[in-house]
Amino acid sequence: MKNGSFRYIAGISVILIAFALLVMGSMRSNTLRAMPVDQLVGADGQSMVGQRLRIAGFVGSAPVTKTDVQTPQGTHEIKHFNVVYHGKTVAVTFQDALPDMFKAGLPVQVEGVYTAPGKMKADQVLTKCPSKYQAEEAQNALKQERKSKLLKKASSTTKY
Amino acid sequence: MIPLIGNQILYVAFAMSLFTIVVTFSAQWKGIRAGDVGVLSPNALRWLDVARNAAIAMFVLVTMASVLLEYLFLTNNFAVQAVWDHSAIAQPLFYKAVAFWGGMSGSMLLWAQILAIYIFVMTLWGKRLAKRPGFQDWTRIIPASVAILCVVEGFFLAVIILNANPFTVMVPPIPTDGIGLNPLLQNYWMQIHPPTLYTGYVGCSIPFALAMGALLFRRMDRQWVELSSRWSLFVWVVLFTGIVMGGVWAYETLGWGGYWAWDPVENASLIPWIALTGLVHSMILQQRRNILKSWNVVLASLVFLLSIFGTYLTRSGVVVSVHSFARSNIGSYFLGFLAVVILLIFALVSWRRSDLRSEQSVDTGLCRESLMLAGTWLLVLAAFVVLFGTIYPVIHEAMFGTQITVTKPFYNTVMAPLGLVILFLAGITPLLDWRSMDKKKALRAVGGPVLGALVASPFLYFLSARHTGAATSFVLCVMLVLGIGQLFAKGIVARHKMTGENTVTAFFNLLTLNRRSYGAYIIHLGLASLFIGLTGSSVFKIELDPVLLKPGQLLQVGEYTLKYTGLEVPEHLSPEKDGEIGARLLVAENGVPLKNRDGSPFSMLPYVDFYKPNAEATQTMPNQGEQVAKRPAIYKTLSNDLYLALVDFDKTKNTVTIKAYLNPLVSWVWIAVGIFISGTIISMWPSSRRVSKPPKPLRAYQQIVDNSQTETSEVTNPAQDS
Repeated sequence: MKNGSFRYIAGISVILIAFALLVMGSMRSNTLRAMPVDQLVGADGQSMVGQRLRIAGFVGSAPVTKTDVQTPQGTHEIKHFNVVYHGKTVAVTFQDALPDMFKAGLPVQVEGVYTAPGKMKADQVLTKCPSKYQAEEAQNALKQERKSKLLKKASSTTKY
Repeated sequence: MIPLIGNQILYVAFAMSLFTIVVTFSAQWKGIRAGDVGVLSPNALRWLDVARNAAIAMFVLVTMASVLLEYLFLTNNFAVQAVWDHSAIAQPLFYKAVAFWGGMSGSMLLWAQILAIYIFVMTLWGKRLAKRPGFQDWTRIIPASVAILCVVEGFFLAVIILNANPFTVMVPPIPTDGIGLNPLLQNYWMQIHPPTLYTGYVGCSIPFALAMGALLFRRMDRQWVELSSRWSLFVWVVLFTGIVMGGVWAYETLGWGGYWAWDPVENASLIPWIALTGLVHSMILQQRRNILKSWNVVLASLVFLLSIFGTYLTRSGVVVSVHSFARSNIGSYFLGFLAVVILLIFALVSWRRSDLRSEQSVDTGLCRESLMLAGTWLLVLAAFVVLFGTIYPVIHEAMFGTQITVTKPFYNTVMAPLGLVILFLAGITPLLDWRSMDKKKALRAVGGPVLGALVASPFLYFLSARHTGAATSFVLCVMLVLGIGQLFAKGIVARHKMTGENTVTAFFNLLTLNRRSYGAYIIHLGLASLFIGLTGSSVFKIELDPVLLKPGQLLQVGEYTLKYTGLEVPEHLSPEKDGEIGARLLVAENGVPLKNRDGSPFSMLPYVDFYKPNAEATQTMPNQGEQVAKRPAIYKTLSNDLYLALVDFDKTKNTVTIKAYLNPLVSWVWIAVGIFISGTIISMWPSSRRVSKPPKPLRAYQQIVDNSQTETSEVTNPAQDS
C-alpha cells in the first residue's frame, strides 16, 4: 500500500509540475506591458518603440478622423484618434469597429504596437462599463489636455 | 429629509446586526464552550429568540432603506448624489428604478439587501427545523450561522455608511436634473443581471456560515452536510445564471461579437463559482461516507473568501479592468475584513480540529469516490489558476515595478486542458460504482460510452477541421451524453423489471423517486451542452474586418451571403432616443435566400441608437456629446449565430460599414443554463422519504434505551440513507 501511494503521489506531482510549467510559460508569452500614456510619452517610452503594449488614458477631445484603405476584401476604414493622460498624447490608428462608449473624455485602453514616439497602431480598443464610470476623472483628464495644449501653443517648437 | 432618514436607518440596521451577533453568541456561549447544543438553558433559548427578532428587525430596516432609496430615484430627488449620477427626469420609469444599482453605493446597498433577505430566510428556516424529525437541535445551532452572516452584513453596512453611502447629498446648489443612466445600461439585462449575480455571489456566504455554526457546536456530521448541500446547489445554479446573464448582455448589446473576455471582474465572479462546483461534489462525498470533513470546511470558507475577494477586486480598482471602478480606498476595508475572517477561521478550525478528523478515508482506486475527489481538486486548481491570472498584474508590479496586463490567450491555453480533463471525469465518474470496482467490471461499465465516443471520433475530428483540442472536446461530450443515456436506460430497465412500468413512466419515476442522482445526471448533460457551445464559439469563430457596403453589394460570412439593400429609419422613435438608423440586409444560406414563415424574404437589421446627453450632463461633461450605441442583429440557430454590427454609415451615399461574425454553436451555452436549472430543481426538490441518521452518540443512546425498556419505545428516526 505504501508503494502504491508513492506511485500516486509521484504521478500526481509530475502532472502538477507539467501543468505549472504550462501556466508559467503561458503567462510569460501572454502578458502585455501596460502603461498610462504620460509614462509612455515621457522618458520611459523610448525603449518601447516597436513593442506591443496596452496604454491607458482618456479619449482626446479632437474628433475622430477616418481614412479609407483598399484591400482585396473590400474597402476598410482606418480611424485616427488621440489618447490623453496628464497632458501627454498618443495618436492611435485603428482599423476595427470602435466600441460604444467611445467618446471624448471617457476612459479607454488601447492594445497594439507602439510604432513611433507618440504613435500607436492599435488592434484592440476597450472602454469601461458605464456603471463603473466616474464622471469626475474624465473631466480632470480633459482639463489637463486643454491646459497642456495651451502651454504647448505658448512655448512649443516641437511637432508631434 | 428622506436621505437623512435613510442614513439613520442604515445606522440603526448596523446597530441591530451588532446586537444580533452579541446576543446570539452570549446566549450560545455555554453551548459553544461545551460543544453541545443541549447545554443551553431555557433562558439562553429565550435570548436566542430575542436575537432572532433582532435579525428580522435588521432585515426590515435594510429593506426600508432600499425602499427609501428607490423612492428617491422614482421621485427624481437629485439632491441625492446617487440619483443625480444615474437618473434623469426624462429617463423611463423602469430605468429610474433599476438605476438603484447603477453605481458603487447603490450596488453596495443591493449586496446588503440581498444578504439581509438571506438572513431573514435563514432565520425562518432555522425555526422550522424544530419541526423536522431528527433536526430539532439545529434550531439552536442555526442562530450561530445567522449571527455569522450578520457579521458580514455588519461589515457591508459599515462600509456603506463610511465610504459608499447612497444617501450622500450633493453640495448645494441642488441640481434640477440628473445626468441620466448611460444608454448602454438601458436594457432589460440591467434589470436582471446584477440582482441575479449578487444573489449568487452573496449566497457564497451561506455554506461558510453553516460550516462555522456547525463547527462551533461540534456538529460537523451528515446532518450538517444534508442541510448545507441544498443551499450550496441553489447558490451554484443562481451564480452561474447570473454570470451567463452578464455574458449574454455583452453578446446581445455591446456588439463585439463575444460573451466572455477573461476580464478581471468577470473572473472575480467565476472563481468562487468554480470552487463552489468543487464544494457541491465534495459535500456529496461527505454525505455518503462522512469523509472529507476538514476539506469541506476549508472549501466552504474558500468559496466565501473568494467571493469577498472578488468584490474587493471589482470595487477597489486595484486590477485594471473595463468593469472595475476607479482606484479608491474602499479596497482597504475589504482587505482588513478578509484578514480578520481568515484569522477567525484558522482559530475555529484549530480549536475544533478533533471533530474534523474523518473515521474513514477515501477509497483509492478506480471508483466514483476517488474520481469525484480528483474532480474536486481539479476544480479548485482551475479556480486558483484563474485567480492567479487575475491578480498576476498586481504581483508583477509588486515584484518588478512595471505594470503588465494578462491577455486572453493565457486563460484559453491553460483552462482548455483542465476543462477537458474535468469533462472527461464528469463523463466517466457517474458510470462507476461508489466503492472500489475490479478492472473488468469498471471496463464493462464505461465500455459502451467510450466505444461510442471512439467510433464517433474520426467523424468529429474531420468536422472540427482537424483541430485536436476541439475534436477532443466534442468526443468527450459524446461520451458524456452516451454515459448519461446509459444510466437512464439502466434505470428504466431496472424499474421495468421491478414494477413492469413502461418506459415513459419509469423515466419519470426515476426523476421523482431518485431525485438526487438523476437530477445530477441531467446537470452533467448541461455540462456537455456548455462545452459544445464554448468549443464551437471559441475555436471556430469567424470574425471579419469591418467592410464598406454599397446598396446591392454582397458580403460572404461562412455559408451565409448577405445583400445590403439600404439604410432604414424607424417610423416611430422611442422618446428617450435622439435617433435610430439601421442597415437592412437580406440573408441567403448556401446561396438559397432565407424566408420568414409567411414567405417574405428574411432580413437582418443591425442598427445604431443615438442618445443626446441632457442639459445637466452637457453642463457637467461638456465634451461628451452624443452617445452612440450599436445594436447588433443576431440570427440564431442551433448550429451557429450570424452576428452583424453596424459600425458606420453615410446617409448621403447610402453606404454602411458592417462588421460580421459567425459564432458556431454558441446557443448551446445558453441552453446549458436551462439544463443546469432544470437539473438543479429536480435534484433539490424535497423528497418526503429522506430522513438522515442522527449523529452517533444519540443513536447509541437510543439503542441502550430501546434495549433496556420492556415495551417498544418510539424510535426517533427510521434510518435511511440516500
